[in-house]
Amino acid sequence: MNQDHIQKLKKLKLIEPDPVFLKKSRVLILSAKSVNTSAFRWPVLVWTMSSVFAVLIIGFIVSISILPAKPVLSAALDTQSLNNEFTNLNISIQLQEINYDQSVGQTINSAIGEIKNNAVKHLNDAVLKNESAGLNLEESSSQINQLLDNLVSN
Amino acid sequence: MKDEEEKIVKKAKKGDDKAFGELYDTYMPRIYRFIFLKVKRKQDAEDLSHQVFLSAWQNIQSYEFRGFPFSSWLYRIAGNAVIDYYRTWKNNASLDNMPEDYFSENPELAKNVDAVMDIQFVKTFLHKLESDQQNVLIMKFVDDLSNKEIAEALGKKEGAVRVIQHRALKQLKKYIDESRPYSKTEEA
Repeated sequence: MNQDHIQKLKKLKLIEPDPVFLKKSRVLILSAKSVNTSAFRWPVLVWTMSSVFAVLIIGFIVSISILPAKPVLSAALDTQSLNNEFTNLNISIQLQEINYDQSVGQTINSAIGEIKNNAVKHLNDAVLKNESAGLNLEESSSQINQLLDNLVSN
Repeated sequence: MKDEEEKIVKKAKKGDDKAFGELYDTYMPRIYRFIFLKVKRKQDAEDLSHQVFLSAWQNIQSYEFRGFPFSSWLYRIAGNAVIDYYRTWKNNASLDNMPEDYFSENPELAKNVDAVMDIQFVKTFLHKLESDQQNVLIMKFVDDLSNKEIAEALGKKEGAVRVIQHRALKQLKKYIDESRPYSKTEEA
């Protein structure tokens, strides 16, 4: 019985595609570029990417080992810039000292000149007594008291 | 034969479109027939078989010769294409709606009315079988593939293919007998 059905199945071999369709489909398929003929293939892409990555890593390692280490703080501790700063600092300190010495010298000179001209009058007891007698201490003290009261009340 | 085909496939893998054209000429009628018997309409069979060969051409680099004909690979692609077709095509049109123009467009076949009737008849019952059973019967009795080749194309073992074939023939016989209510009486 099966042979009968098998024979029926074998009749399906008569089915054939339309010749016009075959021709059109063949032309369309063969005109489409095979993806595999192009250079863009996964193995090639992976190989290229891994090569580039390896070169980058090697370059990084070489740059670390060859170039001197320069940490961030070293910029602030640079000896040359520190020397420059230190030299400028010395100069400015010296200039300040010179200015001070000059002013002190002038003061001393003027004091000595005054002493010479006045023949040390201001140290004379009689002169001092005359000057103190002429002073109005009560008026000035009342004024001072008033100013102090104002200050306290504020 | 296999050596010859292997050489052609190697050329095609290098982008030789003439070599792939030879493969197309050899296997397109079989693949078309396989798909035509699995789908509802002639137009769908043409679209799918075109897609199968286009996909094969674009991905031929991934094909590896393992001692089986190139057709095993094509049948596998075709099988997947048919599965996708039924996944996306929700309209479960009856086989009764199969366009009649198929045979009118094929004058040689149209001359043989009995053959046309037989084809329609068998196809109707073939579609009632499970997908694997359809595949095995078409590959075995229509495309004359060996069990080993069928097993390779379907990704199954040869023993499993034999079992499927046996069950498929039994089931087909049952459907055909049921469609002829008086056949038993006549035989008796």
